[in-house]
Amino acid sequence: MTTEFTSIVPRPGDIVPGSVAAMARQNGGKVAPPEIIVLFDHSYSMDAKDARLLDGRTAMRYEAGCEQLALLQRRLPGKIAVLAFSSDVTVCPNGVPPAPTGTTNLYDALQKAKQADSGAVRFVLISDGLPDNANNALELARSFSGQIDAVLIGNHYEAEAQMAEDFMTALAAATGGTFMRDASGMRALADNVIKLLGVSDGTITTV
Amino acid sequence: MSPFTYFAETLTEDEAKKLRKRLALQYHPDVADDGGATMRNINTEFERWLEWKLNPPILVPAPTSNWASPEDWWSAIANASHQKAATQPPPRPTPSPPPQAATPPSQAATPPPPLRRSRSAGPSRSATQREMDDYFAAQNTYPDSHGHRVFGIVTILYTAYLTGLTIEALEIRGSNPRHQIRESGTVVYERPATRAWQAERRDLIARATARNY
Repeated sequence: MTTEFTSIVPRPGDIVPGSVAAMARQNGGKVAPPEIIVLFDHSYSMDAKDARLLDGRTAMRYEAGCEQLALLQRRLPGKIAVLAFSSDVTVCPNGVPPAPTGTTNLYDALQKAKQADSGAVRFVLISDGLPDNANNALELARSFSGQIDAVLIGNHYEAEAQMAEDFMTALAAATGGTFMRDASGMRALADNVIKLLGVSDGTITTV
Repeated sequence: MSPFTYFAETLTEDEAKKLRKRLALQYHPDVADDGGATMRNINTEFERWLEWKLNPPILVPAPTSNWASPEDWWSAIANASHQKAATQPPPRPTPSPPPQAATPPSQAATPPPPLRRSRSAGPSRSATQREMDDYFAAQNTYPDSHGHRVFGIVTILYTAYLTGLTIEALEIRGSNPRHQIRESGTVVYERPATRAWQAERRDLIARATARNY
């Protein structure tokens, strides 16, 4: 008898195993310092239905992103904090970003992330396009002491793809981070991020 | 809520080891009928506890209220991150690479040096350094009942203070044992030391006395 695997996409309000909130529950109400802060783009374009879930079904980029984020947090419990951004920035201690809405205000997200930029934490930006204020964001990124790795997701038109790739590469290079394009339709995003971070047996190399 | 089931956070290392032994008597696979599952859990938890004890995690209080805002969580996360950075040692400065001298092509083609120095290539730098350090320290040591000044691997068997010249007979132990005669610190005679060390010592002192080397 074969068991069919079905993806379970976490919904806003769920507490993902391995998230900051879940680990705080386990640690008797204490928060351990995260090693990675994921800046997750949940702008309106994440509504596009061109991504794939782990079980192979086509889904919204947002849904596939939530599934992969959950997987990432499960693999590296307590080491990942999620910061979702669109027009506004939302802290997601439960590990699930809010539903897609608004524009891509990366500048505000970086400003928020800067508050936790102690030098002992790494940032991973997961986004599908160009931010509202690219130059300001790039300028702000240069002032980070921790490195920012950038992962470009989604399908783009050729010209748009090139622009997005150029921006993300510049952003990663500004902080000594790495740029990566996820070509799996987000199906292997968690694996790719883990590869990008150079994680071996749960140990993350911080800068 | 404690992250440990068997080991309390307040235990000392000795107490935890004793507790583990006690638990082993109780849950050893030969005693308990669980195929060793409990003992495996205990061992895993003990290792986790030890790691936790040696490198205690930095934990800051999470927002306690069910209605805590994401901002409260963020300040807890940022606070924890800064505390972690404060406890980390400063990064080691990376040594700047030596200036690249222009090398002729023939030199560039030479094979790289072997990774391990062979034993026959002589003592390593650190061994030589140790000998020198011990020799200088032995010079400043009071003679023992045999009149020898000993420090580390160097024994000064005999010293003659002549005008403007000091003659010393030395025995060096370690990986390359040998006898030496030194004039004002400079080695003028050297031979390997063998098992016949008593006869060799006598001969060495005789040579140093007669300045026959």
